[in-house]
Amino acid sequence: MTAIKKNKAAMVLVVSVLAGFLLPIGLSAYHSAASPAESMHLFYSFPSEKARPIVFYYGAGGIAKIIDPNTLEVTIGLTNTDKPRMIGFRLEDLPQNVHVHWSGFYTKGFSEEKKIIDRAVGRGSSVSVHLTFFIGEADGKSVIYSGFFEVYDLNTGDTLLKIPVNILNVKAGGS
Amino acid sequence: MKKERKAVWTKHLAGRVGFLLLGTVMFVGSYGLVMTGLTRLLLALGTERFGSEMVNSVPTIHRSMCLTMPITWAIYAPVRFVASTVGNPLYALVFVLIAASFFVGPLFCGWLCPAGGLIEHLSRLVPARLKYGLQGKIDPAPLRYGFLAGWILVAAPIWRGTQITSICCSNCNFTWTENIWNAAFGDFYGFIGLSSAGLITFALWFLVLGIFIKGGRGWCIFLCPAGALMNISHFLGKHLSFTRKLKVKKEKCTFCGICVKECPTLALKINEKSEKTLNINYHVCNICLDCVKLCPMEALEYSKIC
Repeated sequence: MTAIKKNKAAMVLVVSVLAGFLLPIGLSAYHSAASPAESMHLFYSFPSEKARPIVFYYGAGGIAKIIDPNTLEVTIGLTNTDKPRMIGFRLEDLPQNVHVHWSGFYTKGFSEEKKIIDRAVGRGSSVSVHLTFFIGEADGKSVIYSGFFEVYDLNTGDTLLKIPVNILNVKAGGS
Repeated sequence: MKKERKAVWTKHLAGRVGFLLLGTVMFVGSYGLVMTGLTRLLLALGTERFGSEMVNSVPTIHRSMCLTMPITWAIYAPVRFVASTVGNPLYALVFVLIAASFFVGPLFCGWLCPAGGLIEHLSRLVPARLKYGLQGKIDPAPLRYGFLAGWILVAAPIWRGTQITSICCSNCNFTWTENIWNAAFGDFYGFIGLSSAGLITFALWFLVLGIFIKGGRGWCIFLCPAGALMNISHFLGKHLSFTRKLKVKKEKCTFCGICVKECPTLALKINEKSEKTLNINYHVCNICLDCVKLCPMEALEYSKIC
């Protein structure tokens, strides 16, 4: 192989490796930028007194929002760090223009109707809850929803985890 | 194609589609019976904690049979990986497949993978004039391994608090495989609440690198981290006499090019330098054995080194 051909082959190799290497970095950055306005996976432990808020930015997002502008979703992974319990879930202070679809996201025993898990979640075990928010008329409000996602003990009623949930309307100045 | 060869090819293709359906049932369909049995066994042995972990999860390739997240856990959080695997042994599946590839090649990719196999066989239904081919034009290995390196890097904990994050879930073709099969059974939930990353994944996996590329295995050879690791394992193992790999019988090969043209993973190339040779790229070969069955001279075989 001539020197020129060798150099060309080496350059093609380097460019290919670099292109492959940069692709996941680009995808990752784009996903991070778009996800708070589209879909998130978040993980929490319970019981806990503190929880990182779930914040959505309605009206922003990437290409998916061209097709589906009014849907926001979050998968909440919950790990029990305490004794085995049966748990239930609540979303507090939900306004009329926001409809929520609940799903157990492959968690056995999840009841969409009752929003509970009908078997004990053991210590160290994890479950998932998937919430899809369908946003109706935003009415120009900067805050579409400000409430809490609560995990509670089915037997005692004790609150095990309270996650603040905020849906901010970017188009009305919510940020 | 000669009549006898066509019969061999048809039987081989039917076998591959059959194995794809088996892989789909195993990895996408509910594996409830196995998991329920395992859970009951663990609970009966008094390992309540581990049993309860499995009770809470329906096993699918999307979740407890995930073939991508355990790779990053093993690298960056090995203690968590071991603890999670004790609770759900299926997290070790990808490593079992990588280990098996050392001895027999990435047979999972070529025969059982519900994601890759689905697109490959769907692409056969797309007219040839609508597909573009890369056979003989590009070596996928550098881009494939570059992507694997980047994919591993973005999952590192050092990026916490930045815009860089793991793309295991956001760019998962296995999720889309599950969504498609669920939709086939009337459950369209997976198509609600689309994410931009998910749309990009679908476009790349199903369309650009999928049914509109000759062979249908574009995503597999460029963007699948599990497949890349299996091929690394295969490449290392192929040097040993007791491992199985694809081989060329040089005395029989007439360099007709049928295998190069039909290889779905761009693994074959005719080298026309001083001595003409048919080269096999073990970095992308997924042991589908299409070339073995298509070759009119039976010049390719899958066996151990003699």
